[in-house]
Amino acid sequence: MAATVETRIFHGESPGDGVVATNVRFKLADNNAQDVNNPVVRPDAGTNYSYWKTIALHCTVAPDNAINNVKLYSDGALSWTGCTVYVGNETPGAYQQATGAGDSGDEMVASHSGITGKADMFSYTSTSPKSVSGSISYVTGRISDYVIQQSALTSSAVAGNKPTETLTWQYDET
Amino acid sequence: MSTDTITWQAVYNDDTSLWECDPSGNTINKYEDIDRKRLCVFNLYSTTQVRAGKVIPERFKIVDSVLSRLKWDGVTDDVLTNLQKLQNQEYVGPEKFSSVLNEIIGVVGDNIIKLIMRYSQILTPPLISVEIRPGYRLIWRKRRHQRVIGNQKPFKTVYLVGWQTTIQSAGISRNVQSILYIQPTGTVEMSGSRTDFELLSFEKDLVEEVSL
Repeated sequence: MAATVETRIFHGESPGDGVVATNVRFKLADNNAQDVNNPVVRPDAGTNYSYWKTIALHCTVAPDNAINNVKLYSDGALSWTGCTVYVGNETPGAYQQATGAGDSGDEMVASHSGITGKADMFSYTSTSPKSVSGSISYVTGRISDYVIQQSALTSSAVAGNKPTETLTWQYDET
Repeated sequence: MSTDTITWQAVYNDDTSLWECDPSGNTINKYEDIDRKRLCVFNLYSTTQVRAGKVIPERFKIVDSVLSRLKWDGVTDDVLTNLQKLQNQEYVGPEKFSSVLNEIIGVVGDNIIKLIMRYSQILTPPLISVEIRPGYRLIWRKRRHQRVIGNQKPFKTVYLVGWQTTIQSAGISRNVQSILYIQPTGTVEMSGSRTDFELLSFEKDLVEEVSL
């Protein structure tokens, strides 16, 4: 029988298995509520960041053999003017709660102990996806390690809620 | 019940086979269950055809070409004459057909019976058939694509089938893969590994080398 997998998102100090991600909302708070509270603030100069988001691929119906070779990709074009969505180079196995102060979230490379570099998430496409560590065999639970994403705003960002962008998981099932 | 549109049959070197699904489309065997040391052909079928009974259970019919092949293989004229009495009748299920054969041609030995049954099988041809030669290892994956948010089901599955082998040349080992990518549209593309592969533990256990 085919496995059932879903995206889980993680917030708070001890999120356990996280919750099903119905959205991934970049904001200035460590929650995922779809509201107008805690918007990321456009800077007059320099860069402001959202709190980083932590997601993972999770299995609720086990595969017959295994799920591995997890990737993540975009359509290659972010429509949010003046914004960049970054993804951590590493996909750490340990969760770390997002933090921030004032008008900006803490930048992931400087503040997440499992991240030493980052790249534009929209530089990863179906022909060149981002590798995500982690796999699962026979059982349910978290498949992938944690993917850390964060939006960055410059002074050229346009105010208002941004349209939904689409990211896609790719994984091999046997 | 499998939701996949493609299902596999592993054919062994002794003419037996292992099916992923039963005739109802339920998964009964896993990829890991395949005996890779005996595997010689890996067939892919439409799951719809399996459920429609066009693939399993086996149906049998003796037609002119079956008799010709049996004659070529040295089956005696007496047996062939008796088999002509069954010509163009269809039998469903190997037990039923075997029983009819025993009744009509008497004791001729298991090998002859097996040969008749093999030639008489009415099987929908597989969509893809991959020969696995000694030193070559099967690759089979269901490559799922699923949105991060929204409908939490794969919106696309690409089936990957092919082989890999390790080639030794001038003291250097090189992994070589040949893989067919079966797209949801039905298009089949042939390629080496486009992105990296992660071998499963039971696939790693069978590393063999081919020297050039």
